[in-house]
Amino acid sequence: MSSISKNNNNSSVIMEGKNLNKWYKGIHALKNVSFELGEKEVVGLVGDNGAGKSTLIKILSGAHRQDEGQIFFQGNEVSLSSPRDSMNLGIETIYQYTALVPQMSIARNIFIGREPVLFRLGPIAYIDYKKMGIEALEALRNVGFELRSPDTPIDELSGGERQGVTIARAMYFKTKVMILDEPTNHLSIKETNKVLGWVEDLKHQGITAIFITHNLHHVYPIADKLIVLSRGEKIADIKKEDTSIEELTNLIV
Amino acid sequence: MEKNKKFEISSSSNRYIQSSKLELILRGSYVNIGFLLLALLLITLFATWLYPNSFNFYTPGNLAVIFQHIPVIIIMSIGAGILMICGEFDLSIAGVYTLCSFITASALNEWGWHLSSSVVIGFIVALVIGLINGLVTTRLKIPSFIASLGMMFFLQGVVRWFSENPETGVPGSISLSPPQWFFNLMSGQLFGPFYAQTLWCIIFAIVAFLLLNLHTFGNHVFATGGDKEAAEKDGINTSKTKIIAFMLCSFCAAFAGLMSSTRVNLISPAQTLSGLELEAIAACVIGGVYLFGGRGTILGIFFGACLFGIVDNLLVIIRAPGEYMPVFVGTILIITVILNTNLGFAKNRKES
Repeated sequence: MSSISKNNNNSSVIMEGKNLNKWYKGIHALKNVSFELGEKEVVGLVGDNGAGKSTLIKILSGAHRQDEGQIFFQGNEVSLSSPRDSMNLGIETIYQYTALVPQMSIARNIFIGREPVLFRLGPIAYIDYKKMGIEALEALRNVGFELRSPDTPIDELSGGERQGVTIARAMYFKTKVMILDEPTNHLSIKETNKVLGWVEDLKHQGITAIFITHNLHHVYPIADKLIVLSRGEKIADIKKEDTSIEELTNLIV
Repeated sequence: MEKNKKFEISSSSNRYIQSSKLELILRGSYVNIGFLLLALLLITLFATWLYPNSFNFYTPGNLAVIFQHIPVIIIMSIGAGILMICGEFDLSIAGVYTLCSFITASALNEWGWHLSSSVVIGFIVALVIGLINGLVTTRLKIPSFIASLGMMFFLQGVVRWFSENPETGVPGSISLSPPQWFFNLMSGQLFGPFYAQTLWCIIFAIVAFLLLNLHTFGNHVFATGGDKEAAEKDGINTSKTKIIAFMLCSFCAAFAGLMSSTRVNLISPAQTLSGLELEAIAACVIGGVYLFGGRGTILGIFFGACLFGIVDNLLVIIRAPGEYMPVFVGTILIITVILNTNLGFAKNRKES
C-alpha cells in the first residue's frame, strides 16, 4: 500500500488550485487555499463543519466560481463556470444526496444531460434508448452492480445502491478526477464499507479521488494524502505515512 | 473478481425483474383515466340505445361540436401539462388565448396587415409572454404561480384596453373574418364529424409525445420537474428548460385561441375571465400529471382533456342547469386524483 502511494505522489500533478479565495456576503469562506492532486491519488479532505470543504468542492465541480485564484487541470489553467465545464474536463462529483432524479429510470439518470443521440438536426435531437439501456447495464456491471432492468426507477433503490449508480455513471464517462462529497454520510455501516472499498479500487483504475468527510475513520484507511481545512484555511497537507488519526483529530478540533 | 463482491446487494436479490412492455404500459398513470373515459363512452352508448330520441349525443351535430371543441382543450392542456411536468404553472393561458387572437384580428382587419404577418405577430406576442413568465420565474425566483397570476391580471387589463370602443369606452368583441382557405386550414370539415381541429390536436399530441419521450428536451423536462437540484448537479440548464416550457405553453394557448376564434369568428374580452387556464390544469391533473412535477404522460393529458370536454358536452345534452358543470368537474377532479395517487402508488409499492 505504502509503496503504491509513494509512486503516486511522485507522479505528475493532475489538478492544482492556487490561492483560491471565496466570499459569501462578507464571510471569507475560503482563504488563500492552494493544493495539488497527483494522478491516481486518493486525497482525504477533512475538517469540521464550516471549515470550507463544501465551498472548495463547489468551486472544483463548477457549481460556484472562485472570487480569486486559479485552477489548473493537467497543466492548463481552466475556468469552471458550470457543472458541465467540469464534467467535460473529466471531473465528476458524487454528492451526499445523490444527483439522481428519483422518478426517472436508472438508464435515464445515468445519461441525464448527456443522452446518446440517434440523430441530430438543429434543435431536433432524438435519444437512442436502446443504446442507453445496454450501456447503462454495462456501466453498472463495471462496478459489479448486476441489475437486470435499467428501467427501474431510482426511488426503488436503497441509499447505497444509489451511490452505486452515481459511481457507475462517473466511471462510464471516463472520469479523471472524482470528487466524493460525504458519500457515506447517511449510509449504513455495511453500505459505507462497500463505498469505501470501491473508492480504494479507483486508484487501480487510474482515477484520482478527493474524498470529503468529517469522519476521519472513514477516510484515513484509504487515503494517500490528507488535507485539513479549518475556518477556510488549509492547516495541514500531509502524506498518510507522516501522520496518525490522533494527530489529525487534534488538528481539526 | 474482488470488485464484484462489493455490490452483491442487488445481484443476490430477485427484485429487478424486467417488466414486459404490457406491464409498463399498464403501469402508466393514464390507465385509470382511460378506463373512466371508456366507461363514460359506454354509458353514452347505453343511454343512446335506451333513449334514441331524446339523448342526442351521437348525432352529427353534437359530434361536430365535440370534435371541434375538445381539440381546443387538448392543445391548451398539452402546453400546460409539459410545463407542469417541469414543475411550474401558467395561469395566464386564458389571457394569451384571447390576446393573441385579438392582436391577429386587429392586425388583419383594422391595421390592414397581411394574413401571414397578422398570425405571426400573434404568435410572437405569445412567445414573448411565455418568455417573460419564464424569466420572472427562473431569474427573479418568483414562484410561477404568482408570476403567472400577475401576468393573468395584466393580460385581462390589456385585452380590455385593446377591446374598448373608442367612442363608447365599452369593451366589445371583434371578429376575425379570415379568408376561406385559412378557415379551412384551422376549422374546415375533413369528413364526417372530423374537422381540421381534430387533425391539429392529433398533430400536437404526436409532436408533444415525441418531444417528451424521444427528445433530449423531454428528458430534461422530467429531470427538472423531478428533482431540480439533482438536475442542476448533473449539468442541466434547468432555467433554460423551464423558459422553453413556458414558451411552448403560451404557444399552445395562442394556437388554441386562434383555432377557436376562427371557428366562432368572434373574440370576446370576457374569454380572459372564463377560467380556461384552470380547465387546462384540471385536465392535466385528471390525466395523471403530478402536481409537483416530474411525472405525466401526453396520453394521460389527452384522455383528461377528452373526459373534461365530454362531461361538459353531456351536461349540455341532458339539459342540466349550467351550475352542474363546475360541481361535476370538481368531483371528477378529486376522484381521479385520489385514483391516480392511491392506486398508482399502491401498485408501485407492491413491486418494490
